[in-house]
Amino acid sequence: MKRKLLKSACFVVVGWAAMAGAAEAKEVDWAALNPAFAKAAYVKDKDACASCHADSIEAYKKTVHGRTFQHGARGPLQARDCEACHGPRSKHVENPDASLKLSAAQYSAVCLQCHQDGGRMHWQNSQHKSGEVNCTSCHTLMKKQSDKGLLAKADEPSVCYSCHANVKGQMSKQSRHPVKEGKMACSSCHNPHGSVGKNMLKGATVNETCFNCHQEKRGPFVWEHPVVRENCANCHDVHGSNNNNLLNAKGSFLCLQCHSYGGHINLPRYNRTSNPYGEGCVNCHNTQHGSNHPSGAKFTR
Amino acid sequence: MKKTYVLASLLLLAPVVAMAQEEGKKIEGAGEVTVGVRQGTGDDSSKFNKNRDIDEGFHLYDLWFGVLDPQAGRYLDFSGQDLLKDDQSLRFGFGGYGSWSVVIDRNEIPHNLSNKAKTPYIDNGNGLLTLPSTAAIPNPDLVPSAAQLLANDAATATWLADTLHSIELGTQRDKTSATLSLIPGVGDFRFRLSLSDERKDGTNLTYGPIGDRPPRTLNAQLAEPIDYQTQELKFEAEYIQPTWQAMFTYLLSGFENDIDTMRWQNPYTADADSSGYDIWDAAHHVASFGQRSLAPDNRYQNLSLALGFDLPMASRLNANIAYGMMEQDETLLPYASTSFGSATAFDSTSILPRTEADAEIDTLLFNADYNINPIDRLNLRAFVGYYELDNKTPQSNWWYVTDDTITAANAAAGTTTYKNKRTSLAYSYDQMNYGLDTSYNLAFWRTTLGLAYEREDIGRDFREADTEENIFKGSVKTRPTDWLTLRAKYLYGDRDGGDYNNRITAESYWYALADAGTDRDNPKYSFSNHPDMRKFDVSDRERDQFDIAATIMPMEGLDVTASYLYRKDDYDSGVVPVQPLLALGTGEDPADNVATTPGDQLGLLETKTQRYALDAAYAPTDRLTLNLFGSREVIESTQRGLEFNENNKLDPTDVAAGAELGPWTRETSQWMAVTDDKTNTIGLGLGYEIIPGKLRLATDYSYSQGKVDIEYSGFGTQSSVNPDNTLADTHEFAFRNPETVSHKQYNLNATLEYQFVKNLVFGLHYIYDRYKISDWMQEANTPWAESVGSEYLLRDTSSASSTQWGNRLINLGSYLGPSYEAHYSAITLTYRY
Repeated sequence: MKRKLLKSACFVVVGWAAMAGAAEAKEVDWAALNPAFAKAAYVKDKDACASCHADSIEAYKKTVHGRTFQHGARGPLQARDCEACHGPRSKHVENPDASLKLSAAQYSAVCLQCHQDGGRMHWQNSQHKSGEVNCTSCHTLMKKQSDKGLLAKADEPSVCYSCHANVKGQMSKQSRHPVKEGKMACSSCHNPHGSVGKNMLKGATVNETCFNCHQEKRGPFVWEHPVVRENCANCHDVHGSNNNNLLNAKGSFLCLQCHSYGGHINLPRYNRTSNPYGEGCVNCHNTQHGSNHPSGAKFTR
Repeated sequence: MKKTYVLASLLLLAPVVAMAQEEGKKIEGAGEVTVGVRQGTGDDSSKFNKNRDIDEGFHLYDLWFGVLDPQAGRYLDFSGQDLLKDDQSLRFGFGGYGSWSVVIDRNEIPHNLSNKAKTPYIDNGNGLLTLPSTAAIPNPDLVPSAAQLLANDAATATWLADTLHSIELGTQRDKTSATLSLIPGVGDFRFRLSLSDERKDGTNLTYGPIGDRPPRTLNAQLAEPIDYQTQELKFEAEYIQPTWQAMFTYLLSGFENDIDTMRWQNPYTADADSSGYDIWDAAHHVASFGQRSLAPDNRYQNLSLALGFDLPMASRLNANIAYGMMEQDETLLPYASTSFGSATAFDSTSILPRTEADAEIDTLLFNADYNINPIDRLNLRAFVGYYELDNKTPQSNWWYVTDDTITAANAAAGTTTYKNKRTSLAYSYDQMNYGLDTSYNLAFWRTTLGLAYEREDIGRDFREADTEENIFKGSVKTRPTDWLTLRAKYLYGDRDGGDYNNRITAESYWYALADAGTDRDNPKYSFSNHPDMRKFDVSDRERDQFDIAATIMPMEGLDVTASYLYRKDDYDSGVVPVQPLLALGTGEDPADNVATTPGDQLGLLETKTQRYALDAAYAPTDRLTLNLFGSREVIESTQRGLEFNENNKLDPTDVAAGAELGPWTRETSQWMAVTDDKTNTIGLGLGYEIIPGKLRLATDYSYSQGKVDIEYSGFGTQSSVNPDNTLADTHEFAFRNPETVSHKQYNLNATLEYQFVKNLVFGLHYIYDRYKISDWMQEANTPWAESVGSEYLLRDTSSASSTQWGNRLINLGSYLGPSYEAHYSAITLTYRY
């Protein structure tokens, strides 16, 4: 059934892709964005802009964007400099009012003139886009606010936390990834511009994302622990936990959510084992991520 | 080594300096360096520097500079933070704007676990952990009397006092990567090549159990040596056209562990004849060394092609196909470290079904996503995704030795227990997701309504259930005024685990019924997990999730966001009483064949999560910024278990009525645990330009409190035989509500910066950092665990009646990352040019 659905989906993709040639050129239709642009023409004079916006342009020059436009502009679009992003400005020069102002969503369409590539290829169909997050929600173009990425705030987590405040709380727990220390960022695992994975993960699955750093757990192993192979998040809360090792539950209580073999495997305390202290079941079953030992069926080797 | 990286980075700048000196070149440059002296106290807990390196002395905090050749459009940048420290990061980049770039990154991350741990083991390198001597226990017997075991404990404690020494626990991860990006010609093509080398070394916390089953397990906490290296190559090629884009990616990742095997000495065996094992109580052969394979070398490759098409009616189609291969072919260890004097070579790989892992998992991903606005205000998004994980590792029948110990009878027979006839199963799964998202913009209040449906089907090999889930979503977002945005979302998910096959584990055994003889713990012909157990990841699940958020900007400079999330996962799978032996007919007598489970679902039953968050930023003037943050998270999970005697799986009716360790049919053997996991966090921040452009104050304070309470009831708190009777703490099964686990973190940062000349900034900094932990599982003495002689030897408090080795643990110490209170201050000087 799944294979049939897959084949059908492939046909649909190929069919629709064949129509790509019928689509219009990509340069944004300024008049469609804002009818006030209808009779505006390109001024093609940066000095005209600088005569009023000198401070902004001076700050902009120090950004990667500004430098690329200034020193490495490619094609007719980038050659328009200020007007590549702000549209034809002749009417604005004549009458410098706010009639040519664009909304944040409209500016996103402007950005996509150049930035529908690489890691941003999935933007149009992303959760952020459908949630009405726009490029300018996270990025500031006219002034260098961050070391990387033209972000609106000094660092990446601060940008993400402004909407995902609950994650900020989770990232303050005692067991967490080193995001607070600046050794990781949200984009270590997520692509905020959209991805093929769920929850905007960079990998196709949770595990493929985790294996980017935890390669030693990639295996494959002779003895696989199925729940581990399917999803690391079955046992770990990657945003932070009050339990050690980002675990979803305390000590043996985590294992007991799935295991009830009898004897020592059924209780948080049983005098044959040391599971009320140390790390619980893991005191003995310490290759729970998978074992390569011929005697590793129960993950004690 | 750190100096080498810093010096190498600086040397790389030489060509640019030379270029800058060329006559006629107009080079623009800028830079900044921050140096300082730091003093402080209270950093004696590894927890303080878990992922950082703050200490006293002279420091090079920041260094960056950039040079630009405006005529050629070429640039060079260098930046470094915390240089020469264990957590330093360096970035060196150069290139031509819009055409090419090279970026070299170096990122170092410490992960300090303990600086107070102690162990009797000596690391001899290459994974070999030996002891200066073994504990001269008076009773080398795997089934001693209680008195004998207590005497052994005393001898072990004395031996530990003589042999313990301090060790550092933790790892250091250093990654160096280089990325070349190239945009040739008019920019239709883009290429990116990345190479990286990542090394991780140090020690990690692990354990070394030796013993043929839990009552007879000799265990010690160990420092596992870590020596990993991962090298990766990633190549990306993009083709970009105005109406469509394509990106091809190839990733090759190779992981190598320089230490394949860990061997640790058994603290309790003398091995006087160097045979590799001792015979205890004339019935058990116990190895002098335990050994296990460490993380195996492995290789991962992934090929992917991503396509994006802009189609008529302003629609967009994205499609991806990716194929991945995970391979691992490490040489296997033998079943045990010794032959135990048996004719069967348990210490040789010649008796294994194969000598190399030959493990491979291939993955296939297909994903397509189509977005269109068919009519004004309406947006539709249809998607389909398929992911297949195909485990191609050969399935083999193994006959393993449990933890380097076998019985004398099995050693003589050259075999092991029948239950150790296990088949390694090639677990695989495939997953299909498809659905439709719609959103419609209403004509008032800039309101958007959203409706969505998603279907997720997961088929699994060798697991208890396939699952099918229908997910419905609804949302509304509205902006009644320019200063107020409201969002609300609701999600309902209904997952069906279908027929739960709780006998799937039988496929991992390859013994015949006759092999079990009279053993009544016979998992293949009875059951493995209790039949009332439902593993939560493959069970039925009803999910309700609701979240709301409001963003308020009532005045210029004030921005407030508040949000609330509620999620409830109900795993009720309609469990009813069953007679697991009836169809098998393996019960010892007819009454056993019709023995019935209580029919109350076991495992995780329900999880409720609530998250509240508030974030406010206020900038009343250009000189003052204030922010406030607060969050509260409450996770409540409920689970049920049932204790039973596994040695009576086939004859539950034979269990004595007065035995606490009852049959699997006994309802009063059930226990419940409700875990209440709460986290409260608050944060305050202030930035104030005291003298504009001259004197600036920045300070922030945060407090985070995590608490875990477990409300435990049922068997353990009370007797299974007579629920009116409570069990004393020293009873072998006794358990009750443990003490609250508590973590409190206080952090204050303050910085006062004074710019006394144009390019020179003087800074005063202060850090207050306090951490307080209370965790019953890390205590040396609780109602269930007691220390013997020192915190480095723990045992169950039922020691007076216990004859169990398995509850003894030689360990590295309690609270390996203990509470601390640290104050640090620093003076810095920043020079900008």
